Amino acid sequence: MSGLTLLYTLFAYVAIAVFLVGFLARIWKYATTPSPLKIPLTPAPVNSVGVVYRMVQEVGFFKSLFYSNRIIWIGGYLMHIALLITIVKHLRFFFKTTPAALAWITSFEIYVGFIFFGALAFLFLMRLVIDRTYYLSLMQDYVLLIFLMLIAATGILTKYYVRTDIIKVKQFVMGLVQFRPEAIPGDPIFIIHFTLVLLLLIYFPFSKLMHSGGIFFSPTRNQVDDAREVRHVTPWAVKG
Amino acid sequence: MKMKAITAFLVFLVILTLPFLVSAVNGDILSQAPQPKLEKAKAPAGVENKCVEEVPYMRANHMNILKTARVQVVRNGLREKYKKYSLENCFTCHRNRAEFCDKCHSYAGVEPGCFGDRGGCHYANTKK
Amino acid sequence: MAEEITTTEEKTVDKDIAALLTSPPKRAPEPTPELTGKIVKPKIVQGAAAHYKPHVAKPEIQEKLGFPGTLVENWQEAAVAKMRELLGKYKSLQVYMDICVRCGSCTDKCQYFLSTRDPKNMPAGRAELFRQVYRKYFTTEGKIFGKLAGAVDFDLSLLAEWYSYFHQCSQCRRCSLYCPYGIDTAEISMAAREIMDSIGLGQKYTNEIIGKVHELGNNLGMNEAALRNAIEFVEEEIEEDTGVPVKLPINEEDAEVLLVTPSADFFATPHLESLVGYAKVFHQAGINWTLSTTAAEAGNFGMFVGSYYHMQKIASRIKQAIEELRPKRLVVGECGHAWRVAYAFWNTLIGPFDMLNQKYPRPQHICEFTLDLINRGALKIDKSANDEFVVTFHDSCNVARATRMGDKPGGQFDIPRELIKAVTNKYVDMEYDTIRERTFCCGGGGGLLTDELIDVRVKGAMPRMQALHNVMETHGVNFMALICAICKAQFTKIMPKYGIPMEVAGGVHQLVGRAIVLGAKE
Repeated sequence: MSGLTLLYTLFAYVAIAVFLVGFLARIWKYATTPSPLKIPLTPAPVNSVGVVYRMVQEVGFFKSLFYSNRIIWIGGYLMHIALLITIVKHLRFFFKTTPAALAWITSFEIYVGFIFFGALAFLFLMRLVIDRTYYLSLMQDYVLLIFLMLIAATGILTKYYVRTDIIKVKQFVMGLVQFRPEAIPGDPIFIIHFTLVLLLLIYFPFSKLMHSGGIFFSPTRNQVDDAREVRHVTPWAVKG
Repeated sequence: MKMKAITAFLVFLVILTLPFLVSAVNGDILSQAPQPKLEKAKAPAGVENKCVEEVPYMRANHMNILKTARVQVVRNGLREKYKKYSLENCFTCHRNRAEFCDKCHSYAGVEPGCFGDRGGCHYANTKK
Repeated sequence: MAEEITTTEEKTVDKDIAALLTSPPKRAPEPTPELTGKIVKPKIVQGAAAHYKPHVAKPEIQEKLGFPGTLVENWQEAAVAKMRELLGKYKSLQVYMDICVRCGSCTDKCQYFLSTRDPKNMPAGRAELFRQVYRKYFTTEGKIFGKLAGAVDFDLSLLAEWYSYFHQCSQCRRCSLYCPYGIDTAEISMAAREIMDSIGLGQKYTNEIIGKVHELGNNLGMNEAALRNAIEFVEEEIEEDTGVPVKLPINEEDAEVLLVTPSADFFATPHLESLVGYAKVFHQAGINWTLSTTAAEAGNFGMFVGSYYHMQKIASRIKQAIEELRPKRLVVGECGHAWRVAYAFWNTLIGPFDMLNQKYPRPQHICEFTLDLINRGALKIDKSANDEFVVTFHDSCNVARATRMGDKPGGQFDIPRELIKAVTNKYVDMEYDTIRERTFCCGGGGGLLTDELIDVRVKGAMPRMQALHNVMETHGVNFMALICAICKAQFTKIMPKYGIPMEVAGGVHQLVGRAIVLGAKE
């Protein structure tokens, strides 16, 4: 095993561990912190099926954002959909034999990387152009966008311009997920791409990216509007 | 309350560790990279018995070469200039799709654009 | 681009403790926004609203509520400790601290931002004041990168900003509606106020009233004699008006209905007109009802300061009244935040209501109650009594976005409208973006209904005034029906500044009361 392989194997495991432990610790915190009072944002669903439907609309279509700001919705929605497709397409690196459905999805060439990059650039621009978001934006907002743009750019490079040998990439990734380290491909663009992804994983649980898990715990969205019918009881707020 | 918290936790745990879980279910912890089989033709005398470009380069870029050659020959008529890259030429060695192309292509989950089902042209030598 | 940001001169927050704790200097009233009929997204003006602040509560007010009398020595430590406690107690606060991505969706939704143009009045800008402290003391990001990552020491100038801007939030939840994650600035401003109270920096108006409720049972601080006098006066008025002796029973045991209504209904105008309306409804329907001197206040300012303890303590008077008087049903009068506490919190705070009749909602809103009677034909209505009015309806923020009426989501919009339409002939809605769940706050909610914040209140009312102005111009609207004591007080005070007569604001049950035909039943 080369030094580079050893380094990246360790780096990858550390990054994944930090991400998993960090993310799950945050989720545990969100899940266990009590919600003493009923605070659904009404009109709200009156049963839990309705809450699931509301969540699907929010998570799947960004409904509130859609009705709030169509421009940001377009940028944000495109970005997230492109990200989702990209992640799905990357899943083939984690299966020994790629399932037919995944191969089928992957076979459509829709230049999703470019859409992802474009949407990110658009969001970056909007941050600067709208005086209200320019005022609000913090260093980490820009850093994250730049980070994701770099990941998209290097990914695009390995796919369309400086082709990398994906069989080697898959070998390497399969080695990682099966705890049987394989040599890391020497392609520098791939290594940069991979490094950025690992850094992002490490930063993830400490960042605003926690909105991905946090949205499911938002009381104004996930509570059932049944305050009069069902007495809402939580440990610290109601004695006995 | 506690049950809800634990459920939520487990759902996220499963989603996040999916790659590892999948590979565990997927079995064959010792799977190796696919080994494509090459049935090389005998090179005529005086011609070096090797591919049109270096092997590592071909691994990463063969699709670009094929695509460029196709466009230049079929659409722009530059048959002579791209003769070196003609698919017929490739087929002299890489003659068995199942044993050569598909070995890596199905491993990587990439449909080769040359053949069959969607938009491909070549049916010869493509016994699956 | 970015260089649009400008700073106004000399409008900054207090620099030292003495300045922070003293009342704001008297100023000439600021100009009222112009009625153009349009609600425009303004360019931001930094610090434009930094000089507003409510009176600080005096030690005797604070101590009565169990808060430190004045800013404690180690206030910073104490505040951070309190913040830690609240983060562990409220899922909303903990999650909302983490998940804002500063997308900008909320930035043009708050009535106080739209009118003051101060970016710290954008919901995310306001919450940022809280998050700066959260990052500094509770996040890895903030501990490592400090100021770079937006983590700020909780120093005196930041505390002064807290005091100023968290009292420019009416907790109306309009931001939460438009946030992709449902982040509710009301939750954050409640937590901020609770933290400030815990270190001895309370707001006079709200805390004084909480003290009064604890002591006398109502926000106005009336004793029982005064209350009985006021009610007698109402009875006389009704009889003089209609010739029918309509009674307003007090402390009647074993009545069918206990009515809990904001104490403003007993004294203030136009609140009183709604009380007359309720009384006529009960009288004409022949329902045996009562008011209670123990529970002479539906309002619950404990919510405004985020104090679970005080909210529960105030609500417990309702429970006490139920135990004393043993009514079968519980009905709540016209009040926005009171209905939120009643509808969403009472069951938790003072429930379960097993002793009440299970056939009816517990509690029930007066609009649900009256509309039900009308639909069942129990009241004789003469719509023409309201023919002088073209009516519109202002959805109160707390009713619209934190409660429900009836069985179906959205009943809180439909039931009052149906009720109005049942008692009037001419009804018009205001613009789409300003009604139902998208409604704007009146500008005086959340503990802002105090004289020293008059400039904030005038400005906060701006979006509603524009929408009202439009329907007045286009449809000749001359009555805006309300179901909130705070809305009524706010609008009657603010509308004249916009050149709109104060008589345009009134209660829904004011209309009901006018239309009810008293006397013989069909």
